[in-house]
Amino acid sequence: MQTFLQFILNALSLGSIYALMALGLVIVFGILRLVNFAYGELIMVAGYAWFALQGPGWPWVLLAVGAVIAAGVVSVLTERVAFRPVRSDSLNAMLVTSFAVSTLLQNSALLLVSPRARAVEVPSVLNNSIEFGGLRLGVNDLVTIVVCGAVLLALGALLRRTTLGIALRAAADDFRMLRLLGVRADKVIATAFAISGVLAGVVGVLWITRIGAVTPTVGAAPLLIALIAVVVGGMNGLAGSIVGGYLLGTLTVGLQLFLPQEVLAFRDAFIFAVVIIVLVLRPQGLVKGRYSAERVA
Amino acid sequence: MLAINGLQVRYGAIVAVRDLSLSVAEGELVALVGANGAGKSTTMAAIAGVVKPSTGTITFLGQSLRGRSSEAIAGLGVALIPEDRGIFPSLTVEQNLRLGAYLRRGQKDLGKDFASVYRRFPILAERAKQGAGTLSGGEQQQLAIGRALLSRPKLLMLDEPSLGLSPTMVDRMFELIDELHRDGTTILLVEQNVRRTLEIVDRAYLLTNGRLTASGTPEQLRREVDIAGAYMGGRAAAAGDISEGRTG
Ligand SMILES: Nc1ncnc2c1ncn2[C@@H]1O[C@H](COP(=O)(O)OP(=O)(O)OP(=O)(O)O)[C@@H](O)[C@H]1O
Ligand SMILES: [Mg+2]
Repeated sequence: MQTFLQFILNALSLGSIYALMALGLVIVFGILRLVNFAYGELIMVAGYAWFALQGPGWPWVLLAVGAVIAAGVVSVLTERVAFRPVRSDSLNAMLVTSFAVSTLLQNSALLLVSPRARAVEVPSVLNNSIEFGGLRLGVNDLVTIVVCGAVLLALGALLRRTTLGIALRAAADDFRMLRLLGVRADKVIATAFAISGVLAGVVGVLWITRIGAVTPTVGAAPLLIALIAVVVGGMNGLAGSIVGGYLLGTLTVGLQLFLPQEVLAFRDAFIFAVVIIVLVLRPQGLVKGRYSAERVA
Repeated sequence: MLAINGLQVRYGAIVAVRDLSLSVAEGELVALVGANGAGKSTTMAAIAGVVKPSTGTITFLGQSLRGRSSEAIAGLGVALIPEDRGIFPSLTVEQNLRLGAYLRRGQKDLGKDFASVYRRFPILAERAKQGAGTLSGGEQQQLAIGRALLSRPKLLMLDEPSLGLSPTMVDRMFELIDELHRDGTTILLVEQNVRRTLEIVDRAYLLTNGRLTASGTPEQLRREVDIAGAYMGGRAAAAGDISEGRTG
């Protein structure tokens, strides 16, 4: 029982990070059909922003907010500077652009900071745990679950209640029609990138405080995880990416916990095996979405 | 209000509309009729800025629409209800309507307009919180029209509003268009149902294979053209040189 509750907690915690990662990727994909390979670098930006802000002894919240804003701003900038000019070209042009942006950001970190890992100061309370009915609850996990839950709720409210949020969902349905109603494509796309960047920022803060360090390639693993979660959950909708994220988190934690010691090193191979089985059985992903195949110029 | 001169639109090698000139005056209800593939939807798409004309001018309220994005043209007061209705299935009925009022967001008389749309289409009020994708074809058409009206368009363009509707709904649709016209809305209407259309419009243009072949008042058209013949002829000709797979 104890192990099981522990498992649930860890799965929820990792799953909610994965869900946010996937969401940030899918929110742009839904509108532009673009898999933004520079997404991982936004997570890296959040990490370096945290690294840059630490030191003067500012409150943790301030560092976190600063990191999230940095990722959001960089995301919007990449849209404005790199993606917008090639938007009317082929989808391939955008894909290549996203690789270029990814490399550019990574190399900037290499040059401006260092190829070596930089330690980030992690709030010591995160490493504590609370004893609760014989259960050890890591503060880290609790914070992650609460933060991700709050972000999901806030995003849900934004997409459901605000006009811009509604427009964002409409854009994934039928961008041409949305423009016919007078909604500027640039504005919707910039908003999508802003949300994507903020999500990457939140993920970045949670991820980097887990690892305790930031490197130029720190975004590679989250990007891969997000991609897998999205593909498993279903490319065509926000719900799919959330489901995929939680599922992947649960799977990872479950294998970590229940695999025999000898094969633990092959955990990721098991994960990929499950992913492949899911895709063989349901190539469209677990959750059926309704994004159309069209994209906006 | 709207003046088109020498319009040509092509899709790659296909010339969908050639040397088309037409005009719509304020308060007028004008129809564009013709067989499948004649270029009616393309003409509307060109006006709305969805496709770019290769030659020709389109002016609306004295301003050239050349090079303007479809959102900018919508901002000038042109509303297009496309053939496929363009309902957002992920949104509720109410959210669809809200986007219709996007250009007027923040205006205080919006509540009144929402109320009047709901009065005109009671089913939309009933289904306000329901997913728009679950509506029937007729209900979706009402939603599309209600949504377009909420922007208070200066020119309303309807592309085959009666397409796929039951006979009763078709009746209602023609009544509604007639009513909107009487209320002073300027309308450009594309229809396949020529007989019904000629009963309500001020003027009509007949399009055959991308060219204007006749125009005038309903009386003139009925007198001068064998509408049924033009239709069948157009259709036969169209079948000869176009293939399937249009997006309309
Ligand atoms: N996206 C497109 N790409 C290529 N050709 C197209 C495209 N859209 C329309 N066409 C072609 O342009 C011509 C005019 O099409 P259009 O949709 O304007 O006709 P229409 O008069 O609206 O016909 P219908 O009554 O069937 O709706 C047709 O020959 C069609 O095949
Ligand atoms: Mg058509």
